[in-house]
Amino acid sequence: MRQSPANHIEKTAISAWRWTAVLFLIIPLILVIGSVVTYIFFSWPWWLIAITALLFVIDLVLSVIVVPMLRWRRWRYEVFEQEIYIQHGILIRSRTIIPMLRVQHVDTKQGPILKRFSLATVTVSTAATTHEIPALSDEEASDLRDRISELARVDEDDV
Amino acid sequence: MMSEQRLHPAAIIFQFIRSLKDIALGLLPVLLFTLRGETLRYAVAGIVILLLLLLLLAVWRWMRFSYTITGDELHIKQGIFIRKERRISKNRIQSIDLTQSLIHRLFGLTKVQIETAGSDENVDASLAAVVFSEGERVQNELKADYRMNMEEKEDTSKEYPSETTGYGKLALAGATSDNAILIFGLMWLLYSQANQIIPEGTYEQATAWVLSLALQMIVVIVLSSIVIVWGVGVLWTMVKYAKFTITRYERELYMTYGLIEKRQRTIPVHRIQAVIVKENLLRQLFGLCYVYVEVAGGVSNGKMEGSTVHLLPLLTRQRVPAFLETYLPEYSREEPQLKRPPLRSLPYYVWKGLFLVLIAVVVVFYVAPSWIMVPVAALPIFIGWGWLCWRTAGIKADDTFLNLSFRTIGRETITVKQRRLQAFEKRENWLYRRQHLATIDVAILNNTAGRHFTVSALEEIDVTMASAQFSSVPHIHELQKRNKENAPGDIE
Repeated sequence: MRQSPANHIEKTAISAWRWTAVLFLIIPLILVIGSVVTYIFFSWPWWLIAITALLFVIDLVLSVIVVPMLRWRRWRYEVFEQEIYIQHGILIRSRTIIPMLRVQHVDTKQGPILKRFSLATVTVSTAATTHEIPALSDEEASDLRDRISELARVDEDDV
Repeated sequence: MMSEQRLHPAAIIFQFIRSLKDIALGLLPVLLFTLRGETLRYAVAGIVILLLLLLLLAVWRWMRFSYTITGDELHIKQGIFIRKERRISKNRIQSIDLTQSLIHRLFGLTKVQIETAGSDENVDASLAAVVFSEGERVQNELKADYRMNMEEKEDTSKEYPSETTGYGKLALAGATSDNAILIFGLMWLLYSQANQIIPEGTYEQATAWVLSLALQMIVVIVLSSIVIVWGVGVLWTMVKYAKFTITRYERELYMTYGLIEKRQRTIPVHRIQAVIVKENLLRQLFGLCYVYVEVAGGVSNGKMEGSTVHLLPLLTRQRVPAFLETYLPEYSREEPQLKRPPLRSLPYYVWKGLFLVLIAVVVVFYVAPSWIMVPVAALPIFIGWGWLCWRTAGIKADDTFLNLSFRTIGRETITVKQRRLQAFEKRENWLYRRQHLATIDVAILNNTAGRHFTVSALEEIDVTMASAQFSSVPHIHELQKRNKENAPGDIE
């Protein structure tokens, strides 16, 4: 497993992930508001605001700007006749081979954000594990799903 | 053909106990608050009514449960409000086992567990309690087709390899079990701490002589009770695995064991996913181990003996290849020549254990500085542990098998067929990449969620060689950059 899989996922995935991250910014935002409120009404120390604000900025920079970019660059996949090859992970790069023979079912799914960008996620399940190829374009995802299920339709091995 | 059969009425008891167990946990807090003062009366009345209700339900359920064997299938009807009917055809049945708990044996009954192919719990069936002869009849009736395996068993002209583990070996197994290690550890801890437990000051005072004597008494009592616990553990192992007999038939391994609870296990060989040799530290010292297998499918109603099945309670490590040769030639292999991780991966192993202890040191330093010696003393233990794990790790792949060895508590050496792997994963962080290290993580199927085997920080080349053995696409394992334009096997 020295070569990366050949195919990138859709580039609009970055925007989709950014929007998701923006939505999740609400958590540090609540912390900031909380610290401001406690400062005003309960005269908690001011540096709490500084810390939460810093957290907010760090989260903003990392999860909205940096991480989606890196994640897109790392996510790759390739489907061969007899196996599926997936690579992902920013800090820890992991490369997975799933034998076609072991694929039990393939799904596509689409959350509200992915739908806005007309993207879909392909999920490959074996009897023991589940693997994802996130954010492919709609047609590509359903094509891939059909192709994998076609390839996986070999004679059932005993177990 | 036969008419519909009921289970033995003792099945009511099992049903009653089971439903009691199910609600016990939820009920306990309620009981704690109501079992006192003026509410006591109502609580007791409530409990009595509840018990009666459960009993009634158990009886009802028993009345609504019936089974028939018609022609080539087993037909089970059950359910009080929602009627369920299940037909299991003979040729789908993989194994039929008769298991007897203590209660079963008192009434001369047996439980019949029927496992089918597929790992779906809902497809399997079990008859909670029938008279033993009836159990055997069901087994005989249904066996006819199940791969003619019974005929093979009755075929006396052919000798099937079989052996029974003696009580001496079982005693040794009990004496060196994981629990025994725990107990030895406790003993050592107590012994080494005995002096610290007795406060130093007391020695100086003449009057404290009695006190220290009492403390020593306590230590003696605690030590001897530990020895007793250990002895009970040994006995328990001997009772549980009494007359452990393994027999290899054409397509199955067949095990019986137990003095009070008699158990049968039939394992179709083609459902074995991995063979694992396990040694704890104590057994490793004496060159002892046991062999177990991971089996796919066949959930026996959430029984604890699920997917991992002992093939032998105890054998010497040297005997493993010969044992596999005789009983499981499909997995017959020489002692694998495992490739160990290099010296440069040692820090990662040590770090894993060290990390937790360092956190403990920091926490204790701030919370209770006077206890700082406890986590500090744990430091060398965890470093030693990391070193042991590093010493244990190993990988070897050939065209059929993948062998991995690793340590969590005990050393486990697994042998799995390449084609049984559900997924093969290689992981590296950027430090690993710089040092040409990689972590391997393979998944196999068992009857729960599957099991992952992970070995960290191996030589990257060893992991890649293993993946190349596993994969059908050679070019992704090669070093040189491939040509993007005409990469073979690509899809658009």
